[in-house]
Amino acid sequence: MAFVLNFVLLHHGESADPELLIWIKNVLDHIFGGGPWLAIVLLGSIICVMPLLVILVYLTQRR
Amino acid sequence: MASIQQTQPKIYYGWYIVATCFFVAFLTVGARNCFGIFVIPMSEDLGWNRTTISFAAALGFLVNGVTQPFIGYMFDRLGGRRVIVVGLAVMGVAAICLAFTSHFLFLVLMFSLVLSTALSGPSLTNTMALISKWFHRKRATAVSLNSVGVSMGGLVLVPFAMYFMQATSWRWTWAALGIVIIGLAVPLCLMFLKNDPADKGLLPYGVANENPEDPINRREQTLGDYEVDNWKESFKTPPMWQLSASYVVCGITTGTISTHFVPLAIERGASPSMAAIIFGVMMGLNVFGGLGAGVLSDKFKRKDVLAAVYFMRGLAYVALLVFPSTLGLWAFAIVSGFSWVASVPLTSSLTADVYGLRALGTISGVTFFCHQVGSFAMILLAGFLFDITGSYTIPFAIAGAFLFPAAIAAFTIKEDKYSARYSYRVREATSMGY
Repeated sequence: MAFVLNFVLLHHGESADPELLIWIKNVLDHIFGGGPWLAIVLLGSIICVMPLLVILVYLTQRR
Repeated sequence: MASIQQTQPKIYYGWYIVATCFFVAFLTVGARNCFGIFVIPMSEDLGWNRTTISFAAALGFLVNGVTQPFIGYMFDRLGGRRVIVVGLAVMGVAAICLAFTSHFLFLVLMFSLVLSTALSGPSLTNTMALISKWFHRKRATAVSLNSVGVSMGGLVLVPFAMYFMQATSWRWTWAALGIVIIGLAVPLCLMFLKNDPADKGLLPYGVANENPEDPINRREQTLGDYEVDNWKESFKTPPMWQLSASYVVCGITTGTISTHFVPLAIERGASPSMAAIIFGVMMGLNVFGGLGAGVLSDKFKRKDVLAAVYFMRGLAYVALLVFPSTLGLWAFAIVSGFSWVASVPLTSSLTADVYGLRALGTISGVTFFCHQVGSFAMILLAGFLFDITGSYTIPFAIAGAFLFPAAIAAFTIKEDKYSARYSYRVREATSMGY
């Protein structure tokens, strides 16, 4: 059953391989010094910036 | 119909559709991928075993595959904007509700049924179908940008959820994901998504003439010998079978990679962290492969690029089986990384070119279902063969062997005969007296 869990929509939704997730987290822990809130703020900023950027470009172009 | 704009804006509005769909793919698929990180904390907190929670996950993926053709049908009938926005809103509410999970049946209801069905609304098949309506020229490039959002979502949203869970709890993390979807994706879609270029008084990108009454543009609406109103009609024609068959093989091979590659790498002697790095490199190359295939197929025949993608992936499987130890793993990761996601925008664009836009949501949903069936079957078969033989060699050899017939199936599609992309050029040239 475990391999069924890894079947995460395949390349319509890349596999969230557990080993890969642990590796990514270890790399980020190294970068952020292990503090979760700094990582949350930085990654959250990336998430929030994308729609804001689209709106900003649109409004700029409308002028 | 709104009046046609006479002045060209600096940025064609369709690119805002692409940016919005990119963000939708980024959030929704990323949020869906997060399920894996909830398994252990939810199991421990609620006293469930792994099989129980895995059942909810597997059922959810099955529901998503089965509902896609029906949601695609709604896309064709109601329009992409409505289906995508409603899907996102329901998905966000379901994610927030998951924060209150205390019983297994509630998880099955909210995740496996509600959230997984809602995910079919803003799915890649629907957003790609919507983008195809906006782009005649550079269609594959635009669609491939959408597919890049999937890879990016997995790389940003999953770590975000991991840290959020570390700082708070799994309940707050579900709620945060739901709030992000409702607070960011829904407003962006309401602001920018339009069903059709005509809604903004525009023509699809690359349609040369600004005047919709011009004979060229009237012909554009009915181009292609195989353009259909009903998905069933498409299955009476050879290209649909060629595309679907090769897409099943695509599902077979990506299913094998995504589920069994890391265990195979460990079997070959790589450490778990090295296996993860190799897998991560393969995922990272997706972005370049997907985007590159889109750009190339806007310059060359899409079926040739699609055939090359399958052939390249076939070579990657051969390299994996021929070269020993980690050398084969790296060769496989690099070659197959470029081809992994590339088949999606190519198949989607080619389907739109051949069968038109009127039933594209349903047709894409059906081909997606075929893809998922291939994946699911091969994942189970590979696990079964590993249990019998104690090695991944046979399942990887079987999966790889399918790729060369798939390349031939794609290569033999008579694109220049049936694709609106080429019909349009011929008719345009005729109308210009060439």
